[in-house]
Amino acid sequence: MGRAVSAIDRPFARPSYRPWSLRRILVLAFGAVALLGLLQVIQTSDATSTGYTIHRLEQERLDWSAQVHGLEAEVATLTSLERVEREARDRLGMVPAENVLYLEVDVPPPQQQLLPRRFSASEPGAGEPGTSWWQALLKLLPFY
Amino acid sequence: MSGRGGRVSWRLIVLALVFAGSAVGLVGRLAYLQILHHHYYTLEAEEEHLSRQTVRPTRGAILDRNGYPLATSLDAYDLYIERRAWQDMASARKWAETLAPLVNKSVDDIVAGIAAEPEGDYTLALELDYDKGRSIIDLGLPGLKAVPSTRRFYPEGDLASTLLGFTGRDHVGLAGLEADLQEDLAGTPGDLYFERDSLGNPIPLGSQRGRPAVPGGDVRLTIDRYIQRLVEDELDRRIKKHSASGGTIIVMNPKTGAILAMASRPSYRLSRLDLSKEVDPSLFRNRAVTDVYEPGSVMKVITMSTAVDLGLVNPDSTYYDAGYVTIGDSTINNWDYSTNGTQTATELLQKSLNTGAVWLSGLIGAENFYSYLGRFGFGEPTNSGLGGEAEGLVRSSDEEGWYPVDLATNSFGQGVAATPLQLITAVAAIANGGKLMRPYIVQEVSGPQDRRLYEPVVVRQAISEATARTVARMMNQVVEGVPYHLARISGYHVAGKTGTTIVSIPGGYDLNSTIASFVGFAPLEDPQMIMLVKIDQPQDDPLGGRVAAPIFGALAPTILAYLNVKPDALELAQQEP
Repeated sequence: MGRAVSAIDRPFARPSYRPWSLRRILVLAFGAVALLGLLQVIQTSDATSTGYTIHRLEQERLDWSAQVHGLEAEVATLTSLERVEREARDRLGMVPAENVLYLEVDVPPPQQQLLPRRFSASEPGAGEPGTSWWQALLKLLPFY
Repeated sequence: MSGRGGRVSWRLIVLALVFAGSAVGLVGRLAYLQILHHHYYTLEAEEEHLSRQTVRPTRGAILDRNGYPLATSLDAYDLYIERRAWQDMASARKWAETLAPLVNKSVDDIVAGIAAEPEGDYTLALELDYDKGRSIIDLGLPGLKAVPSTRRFYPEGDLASTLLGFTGRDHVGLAGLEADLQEDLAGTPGDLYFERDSLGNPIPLGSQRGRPAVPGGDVRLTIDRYIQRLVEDELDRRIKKHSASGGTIIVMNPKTGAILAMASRPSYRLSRLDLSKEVDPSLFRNRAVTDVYEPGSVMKVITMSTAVDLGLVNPDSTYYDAGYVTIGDSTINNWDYSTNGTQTATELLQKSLNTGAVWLSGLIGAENFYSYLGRFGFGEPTNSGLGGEAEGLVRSSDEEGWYPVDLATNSFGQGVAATPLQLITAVAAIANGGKLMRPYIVQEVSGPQDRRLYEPVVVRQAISEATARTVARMMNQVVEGVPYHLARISGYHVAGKTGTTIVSIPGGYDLNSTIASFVGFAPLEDPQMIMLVKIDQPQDDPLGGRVAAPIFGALAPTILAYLNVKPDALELAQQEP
């Protein structure tokens, strides 16, 4: 006598599987931990590099700031009265006027010497720089 | 390990006790360190791991009225060498050879400085140029410490040195406006606490805390650098010409009290000041506000203003000049010992008659006279904001030591002392419709968080507008009614008064020494500028009319043209003065 056959044929045979062994689990767990550790190391290393980059950029900013101050001082020196007089006398051969004639003219005076923005006269009552239309619209909102 | 019969071996017990004792000891020690002395060791750790750095703020600039910098700050480095890192002399010499050309010191000086003491820091350079400092830092020499700093820089050189003043090594103002405006200019230092590595560098993303530095505010003065330069050059030239011991020139806007220029000599070279060397501190004084002198005949316009304001005289009022006046035991003569007969009040000013001033003081009376001196600001500081300002000296009739002859002498400017700033401020009231203005030198302070503007301040109405107009016209007659007056200028009607004082010394006066002065303003009808000129102890000529007045005559046309003041009449402008 053979084994009883099921009345319903099973069209798809269930594939056989082997349960995960402890070794496999341990290997995978170890791999995950190693990967996490590696990620952490990479992240820390990246943060450290970024930190040193920030430090370097900070120093660069200070260098540029010092250069700007130096250039402002250079502009001030170049526009100093002593230099202007020296250039006028020595290079251009100018001399103080002996005779002064007064003339009435209907022309506006020359534009004021350009100065570094830091030193230029701030207009009294000058407001913020011009705002765009959408900023003006947002300002109408009570919660803005 | 049990012994025979199941008993525990004594060796095991001893071992267990040893381990237990060690464990207890360790725990106890940990508790001692981490609990009982937690605070102490936390501080020790912070000391080791944390660095503190003071962040120096950038000092504000001092600008002239048009924004041109008169004093500004540049970034710099202070460099120090830790002596312990340079113990090996051979290496020290080698490093010194690298550094010497960069810091302008000789190798021997550097090595000797290092060897001078066994420990501590050697100061290699202070306020070294930023780029040079960076290049030295980049050398990576052991023991080198670099502290960010700033260096004060004066683009206009020595211009306005006694006015601007200077800062010390710790960047604190020591004299002049640098000291007077220290609070506005200095800013607020910041602090930075950070975790550092073994090289002392901040650890990225390590613990950091602190507050940022707040830079100092920029101060804009009322001084115009061009007028200041004109005035200083002329003052230097005239002091040399007359072999004088010094002098002062002040230029002011009489309507606002804004000081356009203030120069005094002797002074010092700001751009080459080295405080490590001995310098005469008297050179640092701003003599325009610190030094008092007897105004002499310039005071006659104040006396005249008083008499006119009280309705006692008008320009055509007369008196008889006998050449001298006797007050008690004292005899007062005219400055030139002249006798002029009947003179008008205007002629009194034109000829600068002492007898006339005495006559006026008699009409005015002591109480009114000293009251008006007070109204013109004599005997009190002007509150200009400039440090070291003197009050001047006025002894009124109710004070001990006053005698009736004092009223007489005070009326022509002797026996009363004032600073040049007090005097120009008083005369400016005549040019300004009788209103006494507070002189001021700071126009604006612009800080990172706020901006302060300073407006003109009317102190009081010293005399009426009508009086001011009358006296101004009389002063105009002093200049234009006297032939060849050296303060006359082409193009403008000038009002002014000369003064010649003998120098007071302890116990009396030096009859061989004078102070020559002139105060004038223009244009007459709408004064835009007033100038005081004072030359101390001219050797070749004592008189204000010949020494001080020409200086006004030389400077005023240029200054008025620079200020775009239209001449009173073009045809007048084309004539010779």
